[in-house]
Amino acid sequence: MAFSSFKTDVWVDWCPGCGDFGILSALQMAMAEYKKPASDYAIFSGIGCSGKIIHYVNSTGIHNLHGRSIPMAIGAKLANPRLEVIVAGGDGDMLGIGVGHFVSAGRRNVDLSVLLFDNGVYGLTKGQAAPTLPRGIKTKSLSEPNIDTNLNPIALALTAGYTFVARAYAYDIKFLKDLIVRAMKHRGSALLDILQACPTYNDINTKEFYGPRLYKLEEPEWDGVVRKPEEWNEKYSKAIQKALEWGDKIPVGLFYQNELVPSYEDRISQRLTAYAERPPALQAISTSDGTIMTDLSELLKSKRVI
Amino acid sequence: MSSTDLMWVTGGPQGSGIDTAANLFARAVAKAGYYVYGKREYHSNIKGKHSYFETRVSRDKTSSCMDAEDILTAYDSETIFQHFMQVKKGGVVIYNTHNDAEDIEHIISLENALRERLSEFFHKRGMKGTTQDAIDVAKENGALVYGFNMEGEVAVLAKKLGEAQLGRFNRYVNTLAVALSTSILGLSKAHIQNAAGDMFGGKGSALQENIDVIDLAYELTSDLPKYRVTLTDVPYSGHRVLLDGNTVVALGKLAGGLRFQSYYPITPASDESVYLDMNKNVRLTDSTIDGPAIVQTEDEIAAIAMANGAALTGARSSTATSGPGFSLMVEGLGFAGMIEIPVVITYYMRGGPSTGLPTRNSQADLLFALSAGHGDFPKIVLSSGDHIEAFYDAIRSLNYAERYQMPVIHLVDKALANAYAVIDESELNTSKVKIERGTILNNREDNYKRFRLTENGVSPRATIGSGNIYWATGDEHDELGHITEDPYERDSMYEKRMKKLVTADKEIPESERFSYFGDERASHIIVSWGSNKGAILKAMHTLKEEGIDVGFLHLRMFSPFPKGISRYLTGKKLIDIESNYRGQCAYLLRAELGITADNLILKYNGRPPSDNEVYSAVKDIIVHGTKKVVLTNGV
Repeated sequence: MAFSSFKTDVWVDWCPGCGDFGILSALQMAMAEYKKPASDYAIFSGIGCSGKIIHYVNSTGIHNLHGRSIPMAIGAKLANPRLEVIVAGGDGDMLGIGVGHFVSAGRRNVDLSVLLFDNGVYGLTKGQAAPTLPRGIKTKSLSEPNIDTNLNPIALALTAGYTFVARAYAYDIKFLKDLIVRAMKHRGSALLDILQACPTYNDINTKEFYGPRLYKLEEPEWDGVVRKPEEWNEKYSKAIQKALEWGDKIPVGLFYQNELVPSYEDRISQRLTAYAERPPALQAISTSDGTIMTDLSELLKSKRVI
Repeated sequence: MSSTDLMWVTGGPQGSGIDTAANLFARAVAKAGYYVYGKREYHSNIKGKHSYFETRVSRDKTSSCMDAEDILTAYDSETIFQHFMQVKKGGVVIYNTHNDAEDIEHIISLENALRERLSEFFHKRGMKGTTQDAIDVAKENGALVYGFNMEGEVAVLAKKLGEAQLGRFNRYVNTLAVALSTSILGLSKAHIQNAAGDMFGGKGSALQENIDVIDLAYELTSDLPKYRVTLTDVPYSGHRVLLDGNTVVALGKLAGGLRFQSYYPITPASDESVYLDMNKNVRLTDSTIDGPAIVQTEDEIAAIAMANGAALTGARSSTATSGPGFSLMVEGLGFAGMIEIPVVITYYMRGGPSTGLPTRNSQADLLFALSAGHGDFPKIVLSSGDHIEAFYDAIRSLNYAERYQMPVIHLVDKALANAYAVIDESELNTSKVKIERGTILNNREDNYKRFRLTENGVSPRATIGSGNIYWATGDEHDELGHITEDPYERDSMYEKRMKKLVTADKEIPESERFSYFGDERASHIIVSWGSNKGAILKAMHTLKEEGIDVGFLHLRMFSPFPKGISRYLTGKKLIDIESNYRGQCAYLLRAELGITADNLILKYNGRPPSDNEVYSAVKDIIVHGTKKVVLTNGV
């Protein structure tokens, strides 16, 4: 399908210059390139400017509660693993109010692509500091420098157990699109930390800030993909070390990928006989006239006293 | 033929096999053809604190207990101290002489408040407060007491059997105590040995050792007089099962086609999810094996979020929790209301507020469940009165959720959740209920609008992955699911959602929403809900024998509220019975119908009302005109 078929006619009401535009375009392009029918995608977004993205994409989208899009997306994906499930949310949404879910998702490794709109501020509520804004930084929206230390989404995702951890830049659409496609292809939980500007409230992390600092992690200099179990320790350790790099040079690209870890769907398949063939959403529960198909007789028999 | 109806009680430190002992007893008497209703009381503790089972044995089905105990079977001292005052005149105490000298000051697991009450009690009688003192008091009160050196007896048996590790046999003290009691109750030894066979068959030497211990118990009691009520075999037909409330709900969910359950561990809810997880590969009538994915989440916020997400794909989804967990679920509940997700929350009520009484009974969450969530949105709230109702309500909850595309809260109080009952298997009949999924679109529809305005408020529902694309948002939205703040569109969408409750009110029959018992002409009508039902029915029966007729309206659905009940209530003197402080159901009667309950019978000490206290309180109200009675029984 063409990129344009993933657009809707809803007015995109982000501020001019917002990094969200680049993410939206890259996402639509990635979905077109990935070639799934539009109705097989499900995007779960959070609250904030980024949360509105689902209304601009012509595929099913659920604009969620603040911070809860990861668990809701997990529920949908586990009930119907044939869906291509994408989570979109800001750093406030996923690393602030939803950070417990963000971390717990890594333990499960459900096959999802998490797009983290990382601009360091809570835009819709007028620019309060968000979890990725460094301590001591004073954006124009803050009356005093940020009092909290920032979270490092890459390091957090790595230690939480995400099996695909990457960073991209909202204004390099092609590079971002390629990483979104790779995240969708990845079997397991993928985090894509997308650096972006908030032109209205964050006058520190601007295009001018990022432009000269970003460099790409590319082969042959960098290869974060674990292909054999014995490679894990070294590649994982290097990825964590690389995650700490922030200053004059800021890396973007794929830090780490490990498809050797079984996905949660694989783990369920080991326990739930029908899962791979007939996932829960696609199972029949009654005959056409509504007769219950569950046969409780064995379960009741095991509880018999006479 | 006298109708057998007696209370058997056992207790002991948590983790010492009380559940096993009670299970053994219940199975044994069930094999003689009796119904059993067992109330499980325990502390929020893994090992050491006192837990006990009160088990009612009767010819007829019951769903409640009486306070007066016929048989107290105790192998530890705390059980004696907790229960010796409850043993009725002519009742039996079977106790362990091994503990005779233990006194209340040295039983560290006793609650301090109880120790003080007991200390005062014994002090007044010039007693120190030893187990022997308690036994003497029970004897003075007219109980028959039978002491056995239980550890000593099993040690002798072990030696006789050539068992080298005598200490290993100590674990059979429970079995011995239970078998001593069944022998004194005149229950055929074969029944308890068969019950042991059910429970320990295939577990190495455990079965034979249990059987030997049971033989020993019957020998030790062979010369003792039997209890005045004996459990001789009574005729029965068909098969019967022993189930607790959590399991019955789980079975209902499986029957109802549950395909996804997410949960966070919490008492007294998680037993349901654990049972589902253990039995998730379900056989269908066409022999395929399907079943729900069961996911343990990081918290209850995630539990409801996952169930919501799964429901959007068409899988029947639910979560199970109790008060503290439900508090966290409230935002997810509102979201389900706003984007019209069919999701079921099984809400096991325990004592609140905050952590409250985590393992004790309560009905104090009714108004919370009804009003949970900011803004107005429709939800169905129902509650079950006994195991059978809980089974069908669990199935119907899944139906209501999909038919009306809204969250359904199924309230089950702790007393029911943890009560074991012997039930006729034929009463759990899946052919009595149909699966009703409402308007699901399985095919692609042109210009599909998920929130299309319709006459009855219900829009055709596409599931994600069915070929249709749609949007949904917790913001107010248009028919397509995009954000709108237009005042007219707001009105129509708001009204559409609320209209579904009117539709549900029209369509759900009264038989699924309340039950009326007794003579409609009675001047006094009891109004109650949840598991109080059993005790009320028993109390009504006793009152009727005394010539006092009362009616009983058992309310089972609170939203949409069945206004039709007013025809039973108008012009009557109402007695509202609830396990909470404020009389929350009475509050609803005023709010929904403008009817005031003249009298309240309330209980909030964490223990469910017994037959006898309901009987006394109702009688007090009818005969003396007492306005309000607070019930305080229970240990």
